[in-house]
This record gives sequence, C-alpha cells and structure tokens, in this order.
Amino acid sequence: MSIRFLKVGFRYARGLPWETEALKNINLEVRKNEILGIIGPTGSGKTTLLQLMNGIRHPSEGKVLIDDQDPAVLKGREITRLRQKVGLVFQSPEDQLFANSVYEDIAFGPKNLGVAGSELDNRVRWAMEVLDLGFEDLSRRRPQNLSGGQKRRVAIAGVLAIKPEYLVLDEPTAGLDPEGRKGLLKLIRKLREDLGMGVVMVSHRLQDIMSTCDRVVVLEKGEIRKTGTPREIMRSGQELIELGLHLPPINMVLHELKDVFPYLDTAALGPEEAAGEIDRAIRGL
Amino acid sequence: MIEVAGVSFSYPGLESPVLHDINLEIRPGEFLALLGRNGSGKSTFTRLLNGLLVPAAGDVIVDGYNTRDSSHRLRIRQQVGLLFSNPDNQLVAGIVEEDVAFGPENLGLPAAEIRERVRWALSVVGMEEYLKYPPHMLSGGQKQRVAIAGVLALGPSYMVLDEPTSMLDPRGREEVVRTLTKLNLEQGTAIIMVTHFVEEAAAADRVVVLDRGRVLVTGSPLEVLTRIDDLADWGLEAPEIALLCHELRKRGYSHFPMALDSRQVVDTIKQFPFKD
Repeated sequence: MSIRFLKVGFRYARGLPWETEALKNINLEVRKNEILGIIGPTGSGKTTLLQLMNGIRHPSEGKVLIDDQDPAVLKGREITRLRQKVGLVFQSPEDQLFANSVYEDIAFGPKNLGVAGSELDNRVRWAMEVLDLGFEDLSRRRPQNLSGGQKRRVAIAGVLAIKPEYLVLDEPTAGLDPEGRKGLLKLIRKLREDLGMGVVMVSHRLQDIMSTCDRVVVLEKGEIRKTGTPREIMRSGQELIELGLHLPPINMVLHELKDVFPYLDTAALGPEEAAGEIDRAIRGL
Repeated sequence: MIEVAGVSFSYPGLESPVLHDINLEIRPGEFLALLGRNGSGKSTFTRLLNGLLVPAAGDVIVDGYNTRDSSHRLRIRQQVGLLFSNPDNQLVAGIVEEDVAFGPENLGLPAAEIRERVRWALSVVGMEEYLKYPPHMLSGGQKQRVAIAGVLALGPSYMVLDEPTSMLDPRGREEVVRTLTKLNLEQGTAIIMVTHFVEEAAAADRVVVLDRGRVLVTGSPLEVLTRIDDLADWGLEAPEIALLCHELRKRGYSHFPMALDSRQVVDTIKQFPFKD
C-alpha cells in the first residue's frame, strides 16, 4: 500500500497567458512505515506536490493513486473515505485553531465524519497522547493560550484524530523554538515507529530532514532532481549549493576542506560524525 | 542609551511575573541579540523598550526620558522602532512607497521630506527598485525589508525586532540579517533583535540570554554561544560550528580554538598540525 505518482504534471492557470508548469513528470512512491523528506528551493513545487497527495488538487497530467485508488475519478462518500487516509498539515496550522477548547478543536474533524460518543472521546484522548499533550492539563484550555509548540501539536492532533494512514506535513518545525522543534521531530519519528504511518515532510532546514527522514527527494523547477538516503543526498553537496539550498554549516566546512583533503566524505550527519571525518583526514587515514 | 533599571513585569491574571528585576544598558549603535526559550520573557521585554508596556516596578529610560511619563511617549516611540515576525501583519498600504510613507505622514512632515525619507529608507534596505510594487508580489524576505524601511522612515536611533526572521525561508533570513548588519554599521542604528536562531546571534556585538524572566548571562557571541552545556540548560541550541569545535577538542585536538564562523574553522584546519 502506498501513494503513487505516475508521470504527474501540474499546471496552474491552465489555458491562461500566465499558465505555469508547477510540476513535471513526477514519479514517486510514498510508502507506509517510512518518513519521506522533500527539499528544494522556494518555488520548486514542494507545496503543490503535497496538495496532490490527498486529492485537494488533481494532476493536469498522469495519475496519483492512493492505495491503488484514483481520487480524481471518485465521487461523494468514496472520495471522503479516500481522503481520510491522507492527513494534510499545512504551514502554520495553528492559525486554523478556532474552538474554545483543545478538546473541541481536536474533535472537530472526526465529528464531521460522523464519529460520536465514546469513540470520539477515545480518538481525542489517543491523538493527544500520541502528540504528548497531557489530557488532564490541556484538554479544557483555550488553544490561544498555549505555547507555540503546543498549539502546533494540537493542530496536528486534530488531523491525527481522523486516523489517517499517511501524514503529510508542510514545514512542521518552522517558527518553533529549538526545544519545540526537537520535540516535534521526535514525535514525527514516533508516528512511523509506533504507528507504522507513512510520513511526508517538507522543510527548509536540511538538518531536520537529514536527522528525521529515511528517504529524501530533491525538487527543482517542478522536477525531481535526486532521490536517496539522507547520506546519499548530503554527499552531493555541490549540487545542492548550486540549486540554491543552504547546507548545514558543518557540511559547508567539510565541503570547503575538500581541496586539501580530496578523500574527505562530506556526507557527515551531525558534528560528531564530522569531527571523526576531519580527524581521519588529518591523520591521513 | 536605553537604561533598564530593576524592571519587573506581570500580566494581569497571571500569578507569576514574566520579568524579574532586569538591569541592562543598551548603548547607542550596538547590535544586541536577545536569546531565550519560549516563555522566557523576551517578547515582553521588547515591548517595554518603547513604552508599549510600562514596567510594574523599576524604570525604562530612553535617552533620558522615562517610558512611564506619557508626555514623552511620542518622542520615545519615534526613537525606538518596533518590528514583529510576520511581515504580512505589518504592511498596510497597496504599494510599497505608500506603506513606507505611512509613519512619516502621521508625523505631519512636509510632502517633500516624506518622499525623501521613503527613498532613503528603501535604499538602506536595498528595495528602492520596488517603490511601486504591491507588497503581496514580494517574497517574505523582501516584505520584511519593506517593513524595516517603514520603521526606519521614522528615523529611530534604536530598532527592536521580535523574531524578525522566524517566518522566512533561509534566503529571506539571510537578506534580513544582512540588512540589519548594514543598517547598524552604516547608519549607526542600534539593533535589538530577538531570535531563536543562534547562528543569527553570532552577527551581534553582544548576546543576552533570558530564562524565566531573568537575565542569565550577557557577553560576546563567542563567549556565550560556545558554552555548550549551559546552552542546553537554557533551552537553546549550540551553533553547529561550535559543536564541531567541541567534538574536535574531545578527539584530542584540545587546543582547537572555539569559533562560530565556518570560514574560521576551515582556515584553522588547513593550518594544522595542531595535535598535541
């Protein structure tokens, strides 16, 4: 079971003079039990790609299949059921919190799908537990009075309460402080490890992508330039720089040492690995 | 100079004070970075500097004027400009020129001077070519630079920015930090910037760390941002480059100089042997 992109293209403003090709010939599989990272410069089509994943938008060319079903040809209740499989969390999702209590906000999604009674209560409790939101402390609080990190997690819990099998997150850590960011990345890993979900995340922070994802896709001008493990992607540092991406500072250091240590591996993930690599290079190993 | 003397503050309805007995002098022309975890009181502190909030105890004195004295409030607000993180919440007009003119127009300045100030402010932030653009056509970094120009057109001596880069992509962040550094060096405007990005704090002259409403430490970026273990206790993240130096020290390069700048680390490594 997976979300599959088959030769997908997408154009905005089709047939108008300002028609733009946002995505071209995308072939991609989003699997369960995997965290897929998407990186690319601003305007490379990352957000459009995410919106195609649960049928909010339909491709102009090719097909997107969710567990082998095509949302573009389904109607009514069937498309609702299919969309339920793919939870979409937009940028700054906390801007969309509206209810008077955390409980009501999280319950809103499943309630609209007809979930009620003890099942609804169970779902809210479960989603809060998964996202490390203490039920006793927080369920009756006003979302507006929580910290930035808590608000973000309440917003994600609202999507999780729909019980999707895939979760798609657009810049989940943007604007959070370091503790909030680390905590959220840990929870994202938990979604895969404990629940076996398929998770897709877009981030401008390469460090977050590299520390969290199993597989990474590099987008540029609407096309996939590269797919690989975080390490494989970091090894092509020069290409990433040319695409206008910002390498983590330590990889920048390794990259600039390449002219004195030609055999240096620039793909280190984190300062500890980088120091080991530099030590080896200096000792001529 | 802005003197913050024995300042405490609490919000109505909240039991514990947000700031306790803060003492700090902000010198004209300095670039100060304010760090601290969420809830440490950073945002409240920024709003005390121009009298948007008035301390519960203690005084904030801006170039000799106390923010408590409402007759000085207009003068203080002109001296201390305040900018927030989301540029979309701060742009008010349909085109860039009118947006930047909004402040000076409210000061009742003559039209020719307003035009001059707008042009000057936009050139300082490198946006003079966008005079006639609608702000929604600009990138996040460009919008934030226009918002900075809007504050600048009031001619402040101090510019206080509350997480001015948190909504921006890496390119936008770089643009804004470069603009602030330039403004500080060339115009001598003092910059007081709250940020979550330790890497950005490295551009400052002085770093202040707040935690639970108290000033924990002040010092140069190199002094403060290389205290790896303390930073974690303060809810901050050590800069990656400092962590790399720390790891190299652990591996036997015990005299490896701590640094915040990748260029400097590269140069040091290229000049080895330094293993002892």
